[in-house]
Amino acid sequence: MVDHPYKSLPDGAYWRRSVVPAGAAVDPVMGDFIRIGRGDRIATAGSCFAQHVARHLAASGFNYLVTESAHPIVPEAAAKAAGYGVYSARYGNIYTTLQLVQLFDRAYGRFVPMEDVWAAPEGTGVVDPFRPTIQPGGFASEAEMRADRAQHLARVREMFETLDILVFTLGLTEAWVSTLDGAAYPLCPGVAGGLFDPARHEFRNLRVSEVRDQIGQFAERLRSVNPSARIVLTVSPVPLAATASGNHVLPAATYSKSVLRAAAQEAAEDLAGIFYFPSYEIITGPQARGRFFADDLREVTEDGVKQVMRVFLRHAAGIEAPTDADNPPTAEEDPFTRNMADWVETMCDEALLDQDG
Amino acid sequence: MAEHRPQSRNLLVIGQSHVAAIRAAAKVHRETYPDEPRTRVIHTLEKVHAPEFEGVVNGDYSQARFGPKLVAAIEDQIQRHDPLVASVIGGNVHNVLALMRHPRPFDFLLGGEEGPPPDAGAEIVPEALVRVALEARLQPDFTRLRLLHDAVGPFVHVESPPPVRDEHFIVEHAESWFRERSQGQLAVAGVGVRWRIWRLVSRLMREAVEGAGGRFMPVPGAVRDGDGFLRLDHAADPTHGNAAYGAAVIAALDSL
Repeated sequence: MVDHPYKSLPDGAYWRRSVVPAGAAVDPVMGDFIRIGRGDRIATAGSCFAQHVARHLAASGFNYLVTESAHPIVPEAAAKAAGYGVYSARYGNIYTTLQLVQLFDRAYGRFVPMEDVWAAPEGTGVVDPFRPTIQPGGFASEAEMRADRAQHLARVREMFETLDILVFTLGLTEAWVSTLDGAAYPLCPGVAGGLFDPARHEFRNLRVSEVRDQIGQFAERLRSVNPSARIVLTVSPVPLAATASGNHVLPAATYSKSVLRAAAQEAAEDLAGIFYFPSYEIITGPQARGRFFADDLREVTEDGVKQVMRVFLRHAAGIEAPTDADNPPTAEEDPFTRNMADWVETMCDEALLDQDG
Repeated sequence: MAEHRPQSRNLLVIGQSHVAAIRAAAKVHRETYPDEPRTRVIHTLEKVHAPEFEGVVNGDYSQARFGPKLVAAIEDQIQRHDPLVASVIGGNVHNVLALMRHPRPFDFLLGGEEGPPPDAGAEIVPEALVRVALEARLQPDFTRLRLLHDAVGPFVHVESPPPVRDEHFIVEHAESWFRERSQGQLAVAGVGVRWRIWRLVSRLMREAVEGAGGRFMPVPGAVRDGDGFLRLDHAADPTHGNAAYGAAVIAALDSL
């Protein structure tokens, strides 16, 4: 019998043998993959889907790195609404590789955007154009925003320098950038602050080569401050909410995801210490038959997230248990504040001792 | 010596720990001028009025009401003496958060009021988040204001005492309590954050007082030093006024 390369491949190389029988439970990881230890500091960044990764890593007992936490006096719900703990630092969603490179450059003072403050949507206060929704209602003043951003970028530097692994979820190719200096905004000016000005803001739809180059640029920058850092790339399965490309949103979304997927593949093949994890395929592949999408055909169901994390942890950490991120432990009261409350209460109680009035 | 201005009407001052200063001043006044209208107080946490609240479920004050003994005490005072009703409700939440230096020092920028410069080395927390932190702890006081209006109608709320500027005064009073707990790391919070958090609580209380149908009275100028802090000779401890403070508040209420 004639021998050829397709004669003796593992089952995972064949659609009929691996995808059809497994269906939605398919495990599409094959070959070399990152190994994560319990002590590895894992940071996350990227588009909305990365929030789920962060949540499940934390709930699974891994060392989910958060360098920018809310001050302990802030109630937990308010802290979360203000973006603390959603990712490893309070940068909000980072949709494009261009944003990621610029985040690094802004954190290290290598890029100082010219347009760096926007009026808040309701007219009072300001927002940070690079995190326009991070502070509900906007910052009370430009001074407050600048102080917060300086603290934030210091925490971003700390994150880059101390992480062992960065899980980055690529979300979009479409971006709005400044015509002045190419600064990339996570949201089109005017949507969540600022004013859209066609003379100062232009649309960009990144190409495969651009995304691939930016991944490489970021990896080089990251390793300049953290030589042993490893990167896991995923592509968000969440389709575009809207497109400014002039095309119908369905092919526009396919374009975006295709570009990101191709660029991620090339980066993982070309660059050491960069891995691709197929969460996109787990959610959107035909074997899932759409079951992991919510009714809006965009958001991923919790079952889908769990399936993604199950496969991820199986290969990255050798763990088979399903993750349960539905009931995270609630934060305890800050012990210092508890002590202060006791003391103030004591001082107040002492007023009861003198009731001869 | 300043000429004595007779008290013109009965006052009923309702609150918690800040009642002590009023009580002390009222006692001196009663003993010195027994024929003048008087100031009486109700400390809502005293056992004789217990329970202060009914209907609080798992920290939810939305269905709370004053306990029957407390309501009876208030109604009795009003029936018998027809007083101007004043509130010194609350007034210490800001001290819980920012009297002593937090292990993760913080400060914030207060819109519309500069005050002392931000504390060096302190993390700047957005004002909106400090506001949320305070509002969470102020829910019992907001409830008290609402219930007071339900019980008495219009009332005057007296702003809580300003902070004391003198750090040594604060440390002396804190030392015995924190000696074992602080492991030698006791420090007073920066004057800036202590100032600003008092101002922010005053704003929140003013909003709540006016929302509840009351009138907000700022703390009398006579008790404040040139920078607006509580005069040391009007302080009983780091968080409360003394009898001199109480007398100034009574005089201010009486002059409304």
